[in-house]
Amino acid sequence: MNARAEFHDPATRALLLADKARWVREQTLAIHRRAPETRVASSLSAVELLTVLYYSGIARITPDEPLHAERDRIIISKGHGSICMYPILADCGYFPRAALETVCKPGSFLGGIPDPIIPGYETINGSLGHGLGVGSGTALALRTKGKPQRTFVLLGDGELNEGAVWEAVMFAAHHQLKNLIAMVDCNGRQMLGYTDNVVNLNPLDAKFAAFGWQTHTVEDGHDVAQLLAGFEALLASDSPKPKVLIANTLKGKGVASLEGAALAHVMGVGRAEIDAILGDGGAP
Amino acid sequence: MKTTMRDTFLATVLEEMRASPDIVLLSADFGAPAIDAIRAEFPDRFVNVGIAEQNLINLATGFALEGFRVIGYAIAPFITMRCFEQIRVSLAILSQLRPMNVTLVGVGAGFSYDVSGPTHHCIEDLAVMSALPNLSVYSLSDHTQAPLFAKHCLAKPGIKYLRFDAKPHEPVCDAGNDGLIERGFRVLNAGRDLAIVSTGYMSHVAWSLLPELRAEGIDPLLIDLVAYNCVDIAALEAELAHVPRTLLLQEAVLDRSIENTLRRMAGGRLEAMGVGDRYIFEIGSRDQIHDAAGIGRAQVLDRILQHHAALA
Repeated sequence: MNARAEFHDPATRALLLADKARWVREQTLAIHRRAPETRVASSLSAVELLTVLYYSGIARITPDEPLHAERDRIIISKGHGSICMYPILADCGYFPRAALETVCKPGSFLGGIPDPIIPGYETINGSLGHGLGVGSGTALALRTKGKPQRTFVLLGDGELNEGAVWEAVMFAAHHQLKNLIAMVDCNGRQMLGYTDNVVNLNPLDAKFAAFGWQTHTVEDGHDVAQLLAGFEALLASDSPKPKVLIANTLKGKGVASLEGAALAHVMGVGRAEIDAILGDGGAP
Repeated sequence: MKTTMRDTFLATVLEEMRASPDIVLLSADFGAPAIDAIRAEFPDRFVNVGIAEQNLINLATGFALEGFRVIGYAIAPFITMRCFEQIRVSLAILSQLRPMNVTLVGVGAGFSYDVSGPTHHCIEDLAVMSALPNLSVYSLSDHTQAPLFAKHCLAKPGIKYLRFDAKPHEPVCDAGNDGLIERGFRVLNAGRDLAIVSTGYMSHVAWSLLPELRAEGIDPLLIDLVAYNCVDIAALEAELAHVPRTLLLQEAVLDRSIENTLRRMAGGRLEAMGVGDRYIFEIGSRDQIHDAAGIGRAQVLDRILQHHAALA
């Protein structure tokens, strides 16, 4: 199958993206089977979102030269919940797929929390609430230089508890950073339970809108066609506002023991359950 | 002439901005007449981020990653401690992997905002900022040094913190600043009876004591320390080798680490092993990370045996 699905008709494109997302999810689980230290539940909720971003042509990526000046900047602010990026980056050609066998092993560059020692990662991860501010800086810097590249920032919904995120939300709107696209993986749960019960974020769409952002909510953040339509609607807009794609997702998507668990964030998945899901699959 | 560090610093920054299109100045809603000149002339390269120091640091990071040389400007306790974790993550850690040039300028060293009370008294910044790997701390004593460090920091890659007094002062003395950038300190008086190593405003105090000390028959070695955590140690040691005792003077809390306490108790007899001045990205077990950090079990044993052999 083509690594990129951007050249096909819409129906074929959606099928290819869904197929790719399935592979990414399987690979993420296979990595977790080999490296149980990885945060798996929060890595499964953003699979379709990141698959669409990387494979549909929405983001301009430069795997042969990860820091190429003409790349779109992609900042993974919810970094420790982004292990699904490993198979995506390997498959796109940032590094060999064989490296996926080495996650969390001594000498590997693929750790439990990804950092820019990994080709394709832009910033330090593992501490929440920094990505949107840094992304606002790159977006304003690119605009100051007259460059057309965009900055995409993936945030978790729990991460929105951090006050620094809202400093950046206000700043980006004030400066009309239309080249900044935030993506919120609204998987509904953070470490100690449901986000609604910790610090309720709703109505999130209205909050971003009230702060001066152009918003698009994807009702099913695991439906690649909906995600693609959301990205395309935001990027086609002439609005000077910064943009946010709010994707309603399921933490631990695809793993029954995680999908309904309030504490999924800190739960691992046992080898037997992964084996049952993967069947014979899971080889990189 | 009585003036402030920030005025001579910003005047130099304005000149540098005229010469180079890659310099940006970010302020956390903190101004000066010299800032007004910069924002009038370079509206695209001056950004008032608002009263938001955490965002200032992250924005500075974004600009620096895109190749800009960045100056972040705010009140000293707020640009260091309000946003300490942003400095640690986005600047100190990230700059080990990605080239960046960011200079943070904190105005209001020590008690220079005297009547504003403890929120504005900045007495912990030297300790906390010095703790960060990949970050150089400069504590300036007068406005003649500020233009030198404006040029030095813009030219030097990496992350820097410049600590400025808020008040206008005369220069400490007419000793000049020869060798200051290279060595990180300057000698104000070349006496031999005792040494006073002072930094920031306390160098003014040390200099002011000179007549009274001389009247007591004491001719001190006065050293104005600027490169607070990155001084040329060999050069400083060479100066201090000629004096029997040294007094440190700083308008800041003293280092309360056990290393410092033991060093004082043990005189020259302390060996200390700890994590080096960098972050560890190597992936491995705790033991393997210890090896990478220089505190591995075998390394500790080796050091003990070397030390023991040296004594035998």
